[in-house]
Amino acid sequence: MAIKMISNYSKKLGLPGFSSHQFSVSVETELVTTADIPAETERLYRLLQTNVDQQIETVGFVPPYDYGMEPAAEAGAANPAPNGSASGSASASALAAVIAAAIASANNQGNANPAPNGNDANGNDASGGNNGNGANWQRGPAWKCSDKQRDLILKLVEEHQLDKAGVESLAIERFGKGVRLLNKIEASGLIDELLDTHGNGNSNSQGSTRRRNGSAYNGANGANGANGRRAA
Amino acid sequence: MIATITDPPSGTGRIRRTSSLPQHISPSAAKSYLGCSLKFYFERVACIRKNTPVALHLGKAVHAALQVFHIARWRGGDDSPDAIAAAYEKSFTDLEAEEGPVNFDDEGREKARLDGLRVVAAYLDSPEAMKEKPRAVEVLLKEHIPGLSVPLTGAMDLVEGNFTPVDFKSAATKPDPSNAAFDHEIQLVSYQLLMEIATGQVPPSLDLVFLVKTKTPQIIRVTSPPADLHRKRRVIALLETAVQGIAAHRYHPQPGMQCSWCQYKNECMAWLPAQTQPERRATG
Repeated sequence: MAIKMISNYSKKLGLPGFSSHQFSVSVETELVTTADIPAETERLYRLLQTNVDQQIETVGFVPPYDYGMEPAAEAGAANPAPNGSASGSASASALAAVIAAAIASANNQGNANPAPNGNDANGNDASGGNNGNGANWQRGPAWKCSDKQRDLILKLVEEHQLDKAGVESLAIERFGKGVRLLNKIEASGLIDELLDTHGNGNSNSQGSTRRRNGSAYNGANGANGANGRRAA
Repeated sequence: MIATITDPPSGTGRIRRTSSLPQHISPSAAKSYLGCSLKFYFERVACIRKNTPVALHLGKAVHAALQVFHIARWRGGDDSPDAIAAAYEKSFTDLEAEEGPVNFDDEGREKARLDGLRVVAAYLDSPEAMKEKPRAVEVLLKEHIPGLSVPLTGAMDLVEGNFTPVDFKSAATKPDPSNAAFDHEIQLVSYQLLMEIATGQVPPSLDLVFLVKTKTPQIIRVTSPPADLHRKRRVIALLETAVQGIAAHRYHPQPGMQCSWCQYKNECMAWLPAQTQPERRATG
């Protein structure tokens, strides 16, 4: 008598913007004897997992931060367009608008998942820190930027008590993808903007637009200092 | 007066010294070293500062204005011509204060300021002005490249949405498109190498946008295809040649047409090899 074996492998992964995607593959096989079950199970598990993993890497549509909302009217009324303001404050306004929209979006979902810390009437995090509604950077795909960039982003978020959902939304707004999926070039841009908005003027962009030839080559001739000298 | 240098740049690379690799190599440093290693020494090792040439000052101020424009485009900030003109004026003044005197002659400052402003305006008015959101602006990358002893660094002026790196060049005359990509090969291919590692994909093209400071300024884009393996290996070899030369303290004059406008002529004329190799002394 043939023995029918049904195997299923399913995987669900979190995505930016409070979304997730899931994929499963099922197969039916026939075994001659129950003694084949362990080996066949091992084989199928490996096969199905490999194939599901390959496919699920394709993220597909990820909703923007204002998906399903009336973003233009709401965000526009609360945070006027930055045109006409100085560049630095424009960045701050844009970031504030994005963060506000993200918090509003999180609150809309709050009925299903009440926030543990609670938010005030304006939708701001009453605790001033991450309230659990933010993006979960502990799970999900591997970071695509460098380790140093990842550490710097996390450090900025921690030091300035930024809302992770706000930063996640900013990444989606600028690059169409979440923070973990930013490559090195994109992560560099995000870090620049976070530094411009929250840093101490150490950024390489708006605050200081000029590059300087570094002293990377002084070391090649140890006797000469890095201080510039002027010849008359 | 000529600046004194405690350890004269007299090496020819034949003298045995402790080799010390630079921390990294950038395309501009490599090009500078390969152009004239002694000028590289005066500029980047001894750091002998000179008055800034007007063209360099102007180019930096224009670059700064374009950077502000692209960042505003990217982040939804104020990219109006007034705001960009104000950014240019600020940069033009700040640069003078921060990077020392500029070689302006009488009334030269005002002319240079207006020339730069016209170039910025021409760019904003041209089809080349960024209409969409860029992918990155003034992005600094540092990557280990196989075949290079030290990390390669590069600062790209602009990365377009499709990951095309763009470098802006201010120029006095119209570029020859057939030569432009070759003239800037080290820089363009270095950007490609950095992009490939940083993003995992080959950029669709390598672009230069020339901001030509003619009476009526012109904005000219020169697009070149991404480098094939041969070009990449060639550029890596050029970069490594510079790295090894710097590490070996190989600094010597390279006489040529460029000496006519070099600011380090006096220092160059003082150059002499300090020593000869012991074995040469023995046989000589």
